Amino acid sequence: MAVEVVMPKLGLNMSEGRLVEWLKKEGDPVQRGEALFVVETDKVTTESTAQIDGVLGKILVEAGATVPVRAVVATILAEGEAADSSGRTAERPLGTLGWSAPESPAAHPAQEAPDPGIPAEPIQETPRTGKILASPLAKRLAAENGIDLGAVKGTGPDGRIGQEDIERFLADRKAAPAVRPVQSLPIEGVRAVIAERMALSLQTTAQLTLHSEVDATGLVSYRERMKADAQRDAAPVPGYNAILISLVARALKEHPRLNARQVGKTLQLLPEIHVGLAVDTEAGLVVVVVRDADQKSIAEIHQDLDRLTERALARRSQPDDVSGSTFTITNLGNFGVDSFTPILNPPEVGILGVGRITDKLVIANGKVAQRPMVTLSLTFDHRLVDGAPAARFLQVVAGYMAELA
Amino acid sequence: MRQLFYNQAIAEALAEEMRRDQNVILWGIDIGPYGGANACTKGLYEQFGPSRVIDMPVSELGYVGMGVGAAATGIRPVIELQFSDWITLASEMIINQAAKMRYMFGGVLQMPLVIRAPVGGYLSAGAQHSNSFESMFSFVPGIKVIMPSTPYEAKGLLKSAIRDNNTVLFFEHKKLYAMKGEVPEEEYTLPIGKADIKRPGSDVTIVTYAYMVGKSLAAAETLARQGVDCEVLDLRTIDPMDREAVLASVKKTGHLVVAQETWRDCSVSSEVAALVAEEAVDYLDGPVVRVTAKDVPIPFSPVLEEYVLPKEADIVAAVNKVLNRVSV
Repeated sequence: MAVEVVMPKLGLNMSEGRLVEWLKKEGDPVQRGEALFVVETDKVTTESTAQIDGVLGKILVEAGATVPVRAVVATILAEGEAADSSGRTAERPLGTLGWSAPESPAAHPAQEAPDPGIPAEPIQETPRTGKILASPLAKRLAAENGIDLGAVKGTGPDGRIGQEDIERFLADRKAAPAVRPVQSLPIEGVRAVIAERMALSLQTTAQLTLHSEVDATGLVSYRERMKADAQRDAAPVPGYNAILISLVARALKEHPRLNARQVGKTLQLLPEIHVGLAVDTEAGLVVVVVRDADQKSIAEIHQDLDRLTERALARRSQPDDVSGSTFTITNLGNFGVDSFTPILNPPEVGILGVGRITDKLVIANGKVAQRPMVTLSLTFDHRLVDGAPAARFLQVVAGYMAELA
Repeated sequence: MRQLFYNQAIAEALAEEMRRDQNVILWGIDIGPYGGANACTKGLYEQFGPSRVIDMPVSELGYVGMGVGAAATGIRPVIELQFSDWITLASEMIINQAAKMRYMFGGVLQMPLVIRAPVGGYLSAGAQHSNSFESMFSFVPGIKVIMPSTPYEAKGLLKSAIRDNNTVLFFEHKKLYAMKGEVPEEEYTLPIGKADIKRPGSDVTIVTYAYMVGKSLAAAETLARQGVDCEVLDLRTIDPMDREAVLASVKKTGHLVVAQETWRDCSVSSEVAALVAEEAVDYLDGPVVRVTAKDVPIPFSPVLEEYVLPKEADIVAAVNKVLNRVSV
């Protein structure tokens, strides 16, 4: 019966060896103890001998090749025994030595070897059963170093983990950049709702964002006047958001397709205009809703917003505070953002992003002038609204803003 | 340094102790004018006369029993068995009398008895002349068992054995009698119960003793050429065993081979393996592998004897096995 000749493991740390030279040719008679080939490691060069009398069968690894320890390099056949054409013996196919490879076979792909006759995977992994085999020393070292044995690849018989494997694991771990612990936060509550709605929004609609830089002089000057009035009347000063909600509510009246929602195969144009405003809270994004914004004065809208925002920040929002919006505004101007692409708040078909107001040099009436400018970013569901009407909506908002001057 | 044969070193130890203490008296078969079957008492009859070097009839039970009685009365007998194989006949005196008297009589007497006996095979001497019974006697409390591997140790340990107030079985390997080695001319003794590192190494510990020390060292040389660094630990004393030395070596190397000439079941090698399993298992990085005789009587046929008794190649293979190496 044929016997496999393997790359010997000559030292504790030897994982592969270079077959320097064959001292026998295929078909040569060999005697037990007779040198078969010269092997070279990073430490020694020595001869590897035949373990049995016979005839050298197929040489599977040519001189010059480097192969892992225990890779089959040739076979020794009994006198008169024939090897089949692949060089594999009839009795025992190659690759069933019963040892696990010292390294992943993938680390030694066939193309690295000069001889295509080398089996790409000379040794099969012994399938691991549930129990992790490890030497007592390996277990102790693993415990001392806080290593999970399940993460260590064993190179001993049946995949047993030895000291060498632990030391290799430690060296690899040292070489790898330090892994800092990951902080795991549960995705639940408000976060889970946001996550679900954002994903749903992007997966079920065709979103398109239009950006338009518009002159905010009206907006700014209107607010300055309100400030002056407020000082005189000791009344609260409405913020830009209250003014914007009022403007948008008016524009939506003219463009009802943006104040709508899809239900099945119909687009429902909604009779009420409830404008939502995205508010940043500790728990996450909350959209507070100003109901019937088209029927309220800016001062009323401001009062609503004050109340809604306060409750949202205190995490005491009532159900009606945060539901039923028909269109949403999200303002990142406070954070220095110029423009962005808001994501629709389903089932709405439009959302307006507002950037920061910045003084810019513009050409007005043929002259260079300094004007406060703001970029409006309108995201809409292109399945239901076309680009031109959406653009017209932006123009209307800009127009109302100019009227405030 | 001066070189002596193993049997010369023994004769010298006997002569020195006889000069030192007139209570030291030798008896055994053919040890008188003939000088002993292995020449270990050569010249002693001439030096010390028939009252201190006494020939015995072929009656192991009788003359070992006589030694037990003599020791109990203060004589320090050193008895030679021509072959240790016949110690079975004398074992009643050793196991049930000599080993127990100090305990049974509350320590009122001592048992300064030494029994020297040649052991071992590799001589094609047949099943009844190739035994090594050290494991049997290590099993019995109250007996010390010594098996020196060199002339130097034979002399130093025999002198300590003669001065010891307990029953000591001193097993000499027949193949070692012709071994030559350095023996200092000045007086020295070696402590009973101390092992010796014959070859320091870092990869694997080979615990061995007696004739197997040489085979282990040869195996270590072979393995060294292949890049494996073996530590060879010579127990020297089987009982009391130098447990600390065994444990320290295994803790250093993480791998253990135990090589002994005799059979494996319930043997010295079992004891070494059990010791390491009990005290140093967390330092073991692989299985403990034993190299022993096969579990059959030692054959007369040289071919079969070579097959049954452990060889250097068996030790190399055992080291390869514990280190998970493919043998070359």
